[in-house]
Amino acid sequence: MNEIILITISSLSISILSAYIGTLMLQRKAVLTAGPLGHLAIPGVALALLFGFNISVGAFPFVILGALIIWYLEKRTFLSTESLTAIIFATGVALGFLLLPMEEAEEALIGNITNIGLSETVIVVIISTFLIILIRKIFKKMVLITISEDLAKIEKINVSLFKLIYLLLISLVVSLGVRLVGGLLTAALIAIPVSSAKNITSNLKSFIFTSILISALSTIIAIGIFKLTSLPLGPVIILVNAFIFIISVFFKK
Amino acid sequence: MQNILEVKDLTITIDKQEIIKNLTFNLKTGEILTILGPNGVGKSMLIKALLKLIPYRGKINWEKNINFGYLPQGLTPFSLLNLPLSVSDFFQLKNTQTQKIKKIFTQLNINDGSIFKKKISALSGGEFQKVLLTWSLLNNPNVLILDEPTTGIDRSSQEKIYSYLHKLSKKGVTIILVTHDLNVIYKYSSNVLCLSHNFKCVLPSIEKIDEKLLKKIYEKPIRLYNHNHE
Repeated sequence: MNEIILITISSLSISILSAYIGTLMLQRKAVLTAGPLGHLAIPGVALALLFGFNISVGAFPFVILGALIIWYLEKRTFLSTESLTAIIFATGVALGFLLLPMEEAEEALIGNITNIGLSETVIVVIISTFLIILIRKIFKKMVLITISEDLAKIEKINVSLFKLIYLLLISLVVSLGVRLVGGLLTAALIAIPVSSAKNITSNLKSFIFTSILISALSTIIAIGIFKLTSLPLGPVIILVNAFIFIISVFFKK
Repeated sequence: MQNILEVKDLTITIDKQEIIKNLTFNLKTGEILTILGPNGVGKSMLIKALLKLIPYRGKINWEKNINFGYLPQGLTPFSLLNLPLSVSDFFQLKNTQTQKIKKIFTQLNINDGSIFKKKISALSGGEFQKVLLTWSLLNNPNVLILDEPTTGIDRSSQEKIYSYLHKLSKKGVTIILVTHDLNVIYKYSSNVLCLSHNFKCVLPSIEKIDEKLLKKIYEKPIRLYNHNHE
């Protein structure tokens, strides 16, 4: 199959999924979690590149470990997410550079999906679809938890369990995201379309729809630019998203 | 009547500090208990412990099959500033019919149907509080726990809300209320729990509250202007 079609399908799957989980990260705190998780993927990606296996597969154990550490530390120490972020971010990046030969650093940091094959594309689409269904299932409960954990508990929602599911979901999304935009930019892929949509919408439905639309549109535009100029796709996706964000500021509701 | 709640030797410790110590009281079905006391004395924490949202020592025994309605303190439109959430979205989180919400809205003096489309962070403090109160009243709770429910709500709506709560209690809904409004306490409470930094009391009737006792609770003189018993 034409490689540009595979790139488009896999990139769209990942960016739609990222924007969708982003709509759940309504709070500043939550968006910050995606940052360190993306950075934690870097040592995993480094190992995958060194030993020649799939980047997402390499990233996942590191990301999931990071997610569990954050979940546990938040529960036990009441340390602020910001300070946890700083600790975990630094650890991930330091480990990554320890393992990674400098010439291969680029792929770990900013991603490279342009060498994707048919079977991997199929797997990406299947996982993305499955995760989107799962996010849809937990969406309402997660929003209520965001508003007030106490109100959620009164509604008999197991807050701790849902937070864990949510972190597992983010970990999976981040692992897919590093394939597309790398460890440095994954958080941006999750956060920017949502921030743009937040500027121009005032109810939940249009917010979700607009986030996904902006993300998909950015990716398609970026693939066009990539095809014409051969600039690296990951950074271009993020830049197009950032450009749309700037425009959205002027239409703020 | 039967006790719906029995609290025995309740102690709540936060950050190694005992904020509530050896508290014992009971509550009967349909009663309105008001918790009275100065800021920082642990009223909200007591409520959270009663809802089992925070750890505690001692016994809190609710009757079986309690359906709680809870209005927490401290949620404001500002705290939800980041959420692109309309009032209608908010109620959909609970899967309730609009008809039922509108019915409660009328009782709480919300007469403007367009409120459903409003962004929740754009509500006024009073409107927001009414929305939260509506939330706590959905699903037919038989125990209502309200932490300063009428903060920011105008006088005429307050009257309407309290008389509605009074009506609910007559139908058998048990209500625990934190409020600083002494008029409300005199008019509607069936009993009062007073908490102070160095003193606590459980009064089976509001008759016993006078300026002397209030001085003891708040540690400074409080004038009583409106002392009409029903």
